[in-house]
Amino acid sequence: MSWIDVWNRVVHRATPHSTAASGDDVRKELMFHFRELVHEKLAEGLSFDEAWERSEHQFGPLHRYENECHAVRMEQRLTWRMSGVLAVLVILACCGWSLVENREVRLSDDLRLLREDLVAVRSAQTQIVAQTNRIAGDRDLTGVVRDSDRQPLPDVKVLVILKTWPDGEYHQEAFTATTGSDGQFTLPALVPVGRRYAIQVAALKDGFAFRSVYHRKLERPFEMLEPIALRLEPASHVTLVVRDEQGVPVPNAHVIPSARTALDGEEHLIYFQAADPVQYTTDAEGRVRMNCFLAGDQARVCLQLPGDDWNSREFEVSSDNQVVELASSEVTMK
Amino acid sequence: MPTDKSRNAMPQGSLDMLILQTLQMGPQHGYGIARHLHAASNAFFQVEEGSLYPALHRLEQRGLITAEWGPSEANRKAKFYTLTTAGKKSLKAQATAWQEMQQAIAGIMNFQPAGT
Repeated sequence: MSWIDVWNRVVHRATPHSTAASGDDVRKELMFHFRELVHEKLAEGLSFDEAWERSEHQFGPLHRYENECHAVRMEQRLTWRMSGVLAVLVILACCGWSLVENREVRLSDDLRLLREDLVAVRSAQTQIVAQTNRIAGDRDLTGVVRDSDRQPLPDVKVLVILKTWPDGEYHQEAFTATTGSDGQFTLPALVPVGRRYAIQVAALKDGFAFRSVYHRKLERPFEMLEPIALRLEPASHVTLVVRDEQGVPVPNAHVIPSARTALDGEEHLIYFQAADPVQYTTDAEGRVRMNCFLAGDQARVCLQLPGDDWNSREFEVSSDNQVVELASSEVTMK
Repeated sequence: MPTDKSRNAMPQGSLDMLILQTLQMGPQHGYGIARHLHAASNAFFQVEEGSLYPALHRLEQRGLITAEWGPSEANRKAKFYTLTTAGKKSLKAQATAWQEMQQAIAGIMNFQPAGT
């Protein structure tokens, strides 16, 4: 073990603050402040965009202050390391001939460590610059769901799929929200800023035909997403009867609405990944009543018989109060 | 109230002292410190609130304050700063130096040449 190792151990034990906070901590701290500012402005009655703009002005450039915080911490680390090197040099000088034989080796070790630190500092700076475009702060996803009379719809399940490409790799996440009494919903800090993304939002409420919208922001400048607005029409009642290969009704089978193509050709989807909150279960007679399609729809559901894989089934909704028999199928849903 | 806001920058080197003074009242997160400085100065100083953070991190590195994550008033995760014993001593020294400087400046500004 070299003197610098000993010194480092002493220094790190003696100074708990010498352990630099992770980059995430710095960012989380700044984002907390910024978010509080936005909430403060919203509470003053400003629109979201106004609140955001004023918060940006009041806080100053997030990336600059994040970089400065990192610089403070890196500077401190470097200072401690250099202090360690100096201390080793002093000790070497005081220890006499018994240490002189290995002095050059130890000094070169110390210099190597110092060089590694400098390289680490430069690397960290490069990473900070690379992260700058990603730290502007994700914005809230907001929207409103109304009925066909433009009245706000409360208790609507809002299923959101967010697609991003961090470091060039595809990433997909599911989120859920429920509308309030004013039909509004909010998913905080979800919409990326300064990065490409795609968002799919589906709204589903029992008694209404579900709808979805899909927005892609794949090209610079990755425009911001306007608040989502969805209007749901009253659904036609459909009863599904699930049967096994022998035609026997299957209780406790799970059914998830998956897609509907309306008469106007518009397709509305519910991603399987986001569909947990809208799962139905068949009763003792293998029946399940689904009030989320519209007469004229080409409908698709995902079906899971007990102990089996998920499968997809398609059928046409021809009228209200329709009964649809879902027979066993070999098609496994991908 | 100030009329020319562009002139209301904080005096050089005073931010650390004002942060320490704020933390003397108890642990606080950056946003809370900013709100206190804004309110206590009657919105006099026009500084970007983000500039608090490099200063807070410097003070933490110097051992004048410590930091710990905890729930905010709105139950969000926030980083709270607390004044250390070393921080209290430093604040006392800075406050004394500040008062001495104030007196010196006042002496110069109020100086009346003999015979006037």
